[in-house]
Amino acid sequence: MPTVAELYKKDLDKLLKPGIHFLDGNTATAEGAVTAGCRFYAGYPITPSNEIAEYMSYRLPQVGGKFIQMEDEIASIAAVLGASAAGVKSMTATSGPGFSLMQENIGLGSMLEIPAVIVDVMRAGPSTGIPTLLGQGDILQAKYGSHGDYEIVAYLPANPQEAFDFTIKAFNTAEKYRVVAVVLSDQLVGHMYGKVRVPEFDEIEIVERPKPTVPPDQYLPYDSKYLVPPMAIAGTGYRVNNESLTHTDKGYPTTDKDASFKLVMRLVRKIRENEKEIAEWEEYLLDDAEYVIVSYGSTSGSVRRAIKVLRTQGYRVGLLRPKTAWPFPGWVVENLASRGVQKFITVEVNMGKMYHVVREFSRGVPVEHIPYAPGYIPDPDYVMSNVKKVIEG
Amino acid sequence: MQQSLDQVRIRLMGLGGHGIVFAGRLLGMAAAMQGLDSILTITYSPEQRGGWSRADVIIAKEMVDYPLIDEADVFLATTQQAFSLEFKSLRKGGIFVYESTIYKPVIPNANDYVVIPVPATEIAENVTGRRLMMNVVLVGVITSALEPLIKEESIINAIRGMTRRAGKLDTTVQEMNIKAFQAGLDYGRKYLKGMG
Amino acid sequence: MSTEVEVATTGIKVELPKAYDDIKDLIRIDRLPHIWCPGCGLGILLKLLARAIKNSGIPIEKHVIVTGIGCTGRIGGYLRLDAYHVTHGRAIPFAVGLKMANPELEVTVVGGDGDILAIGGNHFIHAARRNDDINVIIVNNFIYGMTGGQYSPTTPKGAKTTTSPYGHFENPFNVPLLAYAAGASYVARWSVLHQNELYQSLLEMFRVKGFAVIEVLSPCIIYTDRNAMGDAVDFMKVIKERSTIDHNANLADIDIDFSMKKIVLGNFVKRERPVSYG
Repeated sequence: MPTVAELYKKDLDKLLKPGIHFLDGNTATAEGAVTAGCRFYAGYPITPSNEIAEYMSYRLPQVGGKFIQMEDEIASIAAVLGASAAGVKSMTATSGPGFSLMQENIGLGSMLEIPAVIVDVMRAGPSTGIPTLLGQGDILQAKYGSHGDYEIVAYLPANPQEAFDFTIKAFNTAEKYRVVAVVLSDQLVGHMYGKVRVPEFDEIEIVERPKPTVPPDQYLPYDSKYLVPPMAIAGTGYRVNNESLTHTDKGYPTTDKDASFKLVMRLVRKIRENEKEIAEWEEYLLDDAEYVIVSYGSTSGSVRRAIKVLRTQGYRVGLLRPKTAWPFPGWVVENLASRGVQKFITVEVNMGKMYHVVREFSRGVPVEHIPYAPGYIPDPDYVMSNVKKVIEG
Repeated sequence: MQQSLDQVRIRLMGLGGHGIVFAGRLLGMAAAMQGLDSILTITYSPEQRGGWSRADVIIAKEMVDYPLIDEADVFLATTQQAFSLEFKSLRKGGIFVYESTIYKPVIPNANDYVVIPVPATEIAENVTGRRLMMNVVLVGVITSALEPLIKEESIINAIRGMTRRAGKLDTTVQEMNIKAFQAGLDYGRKYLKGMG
Repeated sequence: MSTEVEVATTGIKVELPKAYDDIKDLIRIDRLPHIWCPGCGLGILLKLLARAIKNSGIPIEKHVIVTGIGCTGRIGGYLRLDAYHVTHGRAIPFAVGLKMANPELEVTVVGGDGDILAIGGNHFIHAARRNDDINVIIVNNFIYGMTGGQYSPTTPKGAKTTTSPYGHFENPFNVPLLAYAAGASYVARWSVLHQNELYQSLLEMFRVKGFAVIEVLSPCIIYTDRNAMGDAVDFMKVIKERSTIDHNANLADIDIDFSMKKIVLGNFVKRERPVSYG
């Protein structure tokens, strides 16, 4: 697999240098994108994601990229898809209300199989909620927000280091599978500064979308013999009809049963059949855990602290921290359930989102949610006292 | 609670424009460069101009888990307002640093704390000609209290590496910052020695 | 030389009209017959657009068509070009992304009055304001055809549609005035009856640097049926009889009302304005 060192040889001195940096999560996200090769950004102002747009407007011109502030979030994601169709890695960033507006075109990106990255710096909702404070309420929306059947990929950074790393991963996954990849950051991760270690450029692997290997007259844009068909770039002579309507391998609209079903199957299979390769998670003190807390993003730091203390008090608790919300590492939950875990406890800043996903895989082991949605992450005391309540019934 | 002593929790607070966030970034960056872990979170009052700002830095030998501060080991307040609002978050036995040319706090149970008054604005003006660099003077004082966890050269490296949206600080500003920092460090070292 | 085409739905082979000979390499012949109703003006536009693209002097592979939803949105699918059929109303911002990412592309949006001016209206005025270097062809048939005849932003007051059974209450957009006011570099209005003028206008559109808008009046039998205007041919006759060409018309004065007593066509605006990008 090529690395940053090989692919962006002439730009290396313009990239964030390998070594230790101290960055806020939003800037780390933007730098991750630039390192991954993102050269187009379109967005619309929304708190708490603004630092990403501001930083990209300053940073992209330095590396030969382009920035545009569009008239709304719908236009932003449309422009991102357009730019990516023209062969440029592209990104937008937003928060809940803007993410809602983008949903229809997430479906478009999925249907046209255009790689794109959306950073959703989650804030408290519903509606306009509390713009300056955090929420983790967009977890299910990220996967299920657009109509119809499709699959996306979503990462859950817990700190600026992961904001940097996961944004690179998001680009790689988007390109590899020709899907929309979402970085589900949150207000706290976006605004906190933390240590970011940038690896050496020859250690950062970069994935690029599969390219056609056949001449235009033999090329099928949605060739179903592939799970992820090679992608022709606009303007390269392939003269492809890229069709938002349900289409044949050739890209022509169709209402044929077989062709329709085959297409939708492929759109979901390309992620579902690779979920074990894509999904990432962290296990903390799970080996002997009787109670498994499932938590992610900035909230997981508080949970980790709570677990440290609970362990000193004799509670056998551990943390399962999904680093990808989608695909969700459901088999890890299944294995824990089969191993005889007493309970799963979800701790997230919402009234129960990943809770439902854990239940899907818990094989009858009870799952309890600790609801919390005041705009902040729960502190370790809150987590401890509520976990004890769950354990002690 | 429960943030044990494997972490140092520093709360910096003052008026917007006092360079509180910059000070926090210097401390966090220096720690990161020394191989420690550090997290900085920032809170502002709702006003776009003229309100307070607060920078909470956690420095830890291992990975910082809970990223927020509920109790501070070191508290810096550059204004009476900051002092009034957040002095309560300083733990007993903690270090309290304040800007003594701006205000004179009335500290309840002052003997429970290590109190370091710093005429930072004066020092900054004397050393650099710029009153605004008082924040970096105060970083020097805090560093003196945290040595050897945070080292002098790390802060100097952090100043040299500090970037803003528009790029790096220019060299003359960097050098002035370093001078201001060292003056604060001297002041702090002497002050603490005097107390000892 | 004529080209034999197999009609996909029936398997019957027919000969492609000679009028298409020069552009047959630009048409996806295997997709014919097209889905448009008999009498629809879109077939004429398809032919003229293909011809203009062919003769634009810009390499064929650099042309990209972006369309949204509606009858007009299907035009890209019949052109053997890089074409993107995207979501309703979003063709313009998609096109902006394409153009910014690769300024060598000649990006043309084709959409109906509903697609461009209702759901996509905000994108239209902002792209014009920025003067994004793309082309927009608005096929104005005064109605939502594909969804069954609801009123659109250009439906004249008084017209009957499936959602204005008592006659439409609202005022329509004056498209050239809107485009001009928002900042377009090039603004024209033609009809599918004015094939020569429209063809020349399309060629001009490709030459223009900046946001180029052509409003194309086009018959829709869904509209004419509802309003006892006869068939598409009758509608064409109205255009033929009542339209005047005035390149210097006062744009504030060229509304098209229900009576269609006055239909002003022309190449109204061509001006140099800074372009947003590229």
